[in-house]
Amino acid sequence: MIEKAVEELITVGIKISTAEEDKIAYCKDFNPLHLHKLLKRETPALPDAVAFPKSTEEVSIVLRTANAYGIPVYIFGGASGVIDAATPYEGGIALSTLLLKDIEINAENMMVKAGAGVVGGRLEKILNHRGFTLRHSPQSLYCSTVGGWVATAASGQFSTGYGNIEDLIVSLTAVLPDGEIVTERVTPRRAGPDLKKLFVGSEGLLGVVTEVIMKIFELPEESLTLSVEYNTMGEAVKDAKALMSLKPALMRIFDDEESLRYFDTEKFSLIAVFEGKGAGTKADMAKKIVRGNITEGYAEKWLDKRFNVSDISRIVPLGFIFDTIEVACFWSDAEKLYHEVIKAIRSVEGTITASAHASHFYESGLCFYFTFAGFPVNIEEYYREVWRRAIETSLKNGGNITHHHGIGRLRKGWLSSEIGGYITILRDLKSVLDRRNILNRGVMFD
Amino acid sequence: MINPKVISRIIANTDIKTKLRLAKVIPKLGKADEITRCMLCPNMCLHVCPVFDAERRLTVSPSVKARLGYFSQDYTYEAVYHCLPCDACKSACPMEISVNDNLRNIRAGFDTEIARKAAERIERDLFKNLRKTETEKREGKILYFPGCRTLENGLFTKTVEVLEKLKIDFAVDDLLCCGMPYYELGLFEKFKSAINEVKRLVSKYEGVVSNCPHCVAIMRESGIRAAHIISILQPVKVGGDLSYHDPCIMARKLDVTQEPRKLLEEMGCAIHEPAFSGKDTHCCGYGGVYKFIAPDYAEVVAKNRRDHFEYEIVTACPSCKTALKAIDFVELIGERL
Repeated sequence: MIEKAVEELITVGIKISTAEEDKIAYCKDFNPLHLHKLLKRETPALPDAVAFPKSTEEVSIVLRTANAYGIPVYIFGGASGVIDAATPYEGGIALSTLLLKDIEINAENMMVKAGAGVVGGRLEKILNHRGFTLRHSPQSLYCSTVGGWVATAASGQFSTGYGNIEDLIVSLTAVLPDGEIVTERVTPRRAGPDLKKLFVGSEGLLGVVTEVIMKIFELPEESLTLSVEYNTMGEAVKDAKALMSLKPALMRIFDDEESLRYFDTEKFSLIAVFEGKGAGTKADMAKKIVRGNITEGYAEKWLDKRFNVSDISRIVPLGFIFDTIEVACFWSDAEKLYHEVIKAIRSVEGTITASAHASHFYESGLCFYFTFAGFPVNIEEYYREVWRRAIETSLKNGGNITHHHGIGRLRKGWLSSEIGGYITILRDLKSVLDRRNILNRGVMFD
Repeated sequence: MINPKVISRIIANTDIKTKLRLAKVIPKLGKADEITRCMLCPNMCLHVCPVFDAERRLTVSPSVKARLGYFSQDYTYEAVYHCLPCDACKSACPMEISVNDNLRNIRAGFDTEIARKAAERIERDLFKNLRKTETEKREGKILYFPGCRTLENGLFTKTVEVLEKLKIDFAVDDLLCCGMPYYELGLFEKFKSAINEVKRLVSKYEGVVSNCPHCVAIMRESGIRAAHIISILQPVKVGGDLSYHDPCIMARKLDVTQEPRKLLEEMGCAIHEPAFSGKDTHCCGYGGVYKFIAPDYAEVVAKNRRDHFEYEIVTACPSCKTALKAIDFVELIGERL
């Protein structure tokens, strides 16, 4: 079947590779368990072929052909997702969006149209050169793609001020599993059903996002920071809630362990960035609002290191396993949730560190981003157990199962606890739109 | 480096069994080789990699090439050769890992048809300039070493004229290759023989100047006193709106980014910076041997780079000049001397 499909696709001019090196390149996402396989020179899975469509129409042809033969298709952007969503466990076709690479800046209407395969860091650089910014800045900015942001419902470091990806999308184009192309009239807003949101966080289950129009902002002329120390997480959270009245562009709280890593202090730390017109006034007001000990330079230190993930490369070769677990909760549950999840992670034998920062803030609550590392005898068992205890503890204490990394295969066991009865609608949608279940099979549910 | 206080805290908070096992590995923290560390990164330099940007497949992205290098045991992969010596990755990497430096060592471990054929093409198409260019040898204190790429685009004669007008005491001698193409292909024996020949030639002189940043870098790494020609150029009145393209090796390996701009300012030019400039420059695609491995993609890199500019491009590298259809400093100055 796959051979026939590949032959057909090549005949109509789609770039397809069955070379070993391309299969190895498209064998996984960035779920940490995969790294240990690589160290053993093993691949978690291998696609039978990799497709590189260069237009929405070519994506449509790939999906139509795969549908005709019932071949599984796994969608790849930059493969920086961490939830084991893209890994091609059943072979089939790895569909790369990377040739969807056009960028069109509409300065007058403050928008940018970007192909799904555009890499975030490059897009931001090009926008900056023209005096604009996306202000969507996930830690994966340099290696993730626009399509991936939509598919995972991504969130960036400046989300507190500018919103998450769903707030930044003006319009998008997607291809349904049967090859139908769906798009809409581009407009600043409309009433009526906003069905493009179906694709936000859909992790490739319902279609392939091929092009996205996003808001852009002028690069802020003024940017001021605030750095504060506290004795407890609770005190920091209270101040963060108070600061929301000033709408900081960015705000974070680091617990004592992460403060040690970033700032060489074992206090709890809060940093905030105020930018744009009136930033100075806001920063002055913020200093009057906070009850913690105002200090200097923490925000700058973190801003300088915010894309540095090199510790992964330093510890994994020695047999350490690490991961991050991000969950959202209301203000009322924040302090307890933080302590309970840390306790739950630490309770698993082999844990060497469990820490957290609060990374995204809303009027009603925040996101805690837990980081753990372990040095267990059995990496996979340890990893699954940490995840089980952490997520169950989060759910029990008012947290949810994910803020912005997504569900994938990693969290699918808890999806019904998260979206309740909506899971039936999701299954129905999947069966209607993807009758032969070709897209990202095994993601979110079996 | 990981803060020692963090390590102490980790040890204090860890169960006894794990603590005992930890004690054995902590001294090895961060000591894995570069290819392994690069492979384990999520590709945090993907946004600056010109080869990835041209080919648009993860296969040639920096950390996946490291993966393919790591997986190279009985044989190696073609993608290991799809790299430029631009070090954009190193410049963006907190571990300062140059993917190309590491892949070069992988290439050296295999006798591949890819390397052999590329070497043949280089010897046929690039080295022909060394054989065919007619030169008038001359004596002098410093050796003018044009490099193969300078001979390709007519820059050699112009440079000789400029050096004469500037009254530089320079020599022209046998035309040689610095050996860079062999070096980049991992053909280290051939490289050694080429660079030794260069060493013998330059031993008669106080030093070397070259138009080619690559030649200068290779010669310096081999212990030869070499400088880029820009260091001896003099400003002349030019004026107008221009953009300067930083050759990647000039900016990142020779650490020269300010001098060309200063020179342009002294020449009365208004400099318009492109996206990707200074140390954050973007390769033109003609560096190293990529053009002889994947010529079509090298052209895509060149086009991508050209698209960053709105004004006439000035540069200081014969490869960049050809790739970007740019004017070289030597030409800019030579026209008005």
